[in-house]
Amino acid sequence: MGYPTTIDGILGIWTALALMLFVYSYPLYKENQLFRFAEHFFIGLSLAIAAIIAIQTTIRLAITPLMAGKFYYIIPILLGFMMYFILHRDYRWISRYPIAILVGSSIGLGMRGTIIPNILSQIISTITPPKAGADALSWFNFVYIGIGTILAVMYFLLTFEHKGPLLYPTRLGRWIIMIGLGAYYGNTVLFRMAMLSGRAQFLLQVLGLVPF
Amino acid sequence: MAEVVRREAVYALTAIIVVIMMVDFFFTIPAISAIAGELRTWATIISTMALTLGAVNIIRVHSRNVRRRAPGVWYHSAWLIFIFAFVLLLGFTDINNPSSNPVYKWIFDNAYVSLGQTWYAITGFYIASAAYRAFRARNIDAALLLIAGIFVMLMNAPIGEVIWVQIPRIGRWFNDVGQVPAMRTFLIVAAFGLLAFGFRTLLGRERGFYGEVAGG
Repeated sequence: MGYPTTIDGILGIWTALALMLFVYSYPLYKENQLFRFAEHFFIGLSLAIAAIIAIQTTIRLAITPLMAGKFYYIIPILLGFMMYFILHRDYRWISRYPIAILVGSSIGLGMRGTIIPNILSQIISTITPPKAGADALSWFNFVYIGIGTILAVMYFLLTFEHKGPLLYPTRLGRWIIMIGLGAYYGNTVLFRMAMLSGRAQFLLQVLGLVPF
Repeated sequence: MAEVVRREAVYALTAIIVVIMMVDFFFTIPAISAIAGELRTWATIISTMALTLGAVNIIRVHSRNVRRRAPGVWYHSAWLIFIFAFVLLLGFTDINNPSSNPVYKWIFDNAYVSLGQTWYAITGFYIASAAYRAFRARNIDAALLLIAGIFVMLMNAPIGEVIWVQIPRIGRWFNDVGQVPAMRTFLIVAAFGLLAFGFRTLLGRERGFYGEVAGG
């Protein structure tokens, strides 16, 4: 993609640049009217786009089947409108029914969806040894992950005070967690800085200092 | 009677739906599977309609600011409402494919996408100072955090290999192996937490969703 040549293209990238500078005026300078302008612009825009997507989804999932003869689809539509009673103090309790369906299905799906991937698969991966003929590093990694996971899980035994026989295992578990968080945080720092350098690159591209 | 309709029936409905979802997972009963499938669709419909409720609520708050002429705020609120109404109107010109409207597409590409990236990247300004505070070796815990973080960062930066050729290798170990026990632990304990939370909801002990304080 080269530098835009049409009027709307050029206007587009300069608008994007101006909005970006308005937003970054907050961390680079202090809170100001231009920042608040861009902030409210983004909130209004995001709300409108979210509302459009919500309406599209409602039409596709509820209105279309209703028109096709599935008349019971009037029930979720009515339940959806019942959510709006949350805004009225006296009739707020009506909104509890759609919330009950949302919570029930979310918790039900969450509970059934968490057992295999987040508990069983993790335990199986932890206790599965390397294949025969694996090098010493693979065995070291296997032992580190196995013992490390047990120790780190012990750190979350919150029903017992971490003293006596639990003192050293839980302390080691905390160190294992610190190593994990350090690596995770290192990745996060790099990712955020990469995002910021992407914005800096956009600034230079709009100014014509580096190619698009 | 009012108490039953307002509270007890709601807890019972939640519990029944949780049970239907669980039975659908553990047993092959066609009738239950059909009900569970419909309930999933209904939940999606309700949640998408709840999204517009969020929009309505924000517009209510900002309308109040405009009506009261809140100093230093009301014109920003008016601007927010105008943008919301304008973009919504553009979207309604072709609700199934709003991008077919060139003005909508222009705003989406040049304002929404760009601002989205800008907001996401703004943390880059703060993460350097946050990293400085987090990566101070005040005790063994912080030192381990520092060592793992530094090696992972230097692994990805070209200067890491220039300093010492083994740095990328050590960084890769922290990335691929070193953090595995912690991440695996987070998954396992979060899963157990979710199960406990689910059972509390099933028993009607967890009532925060309904605007009530969670029961003991």
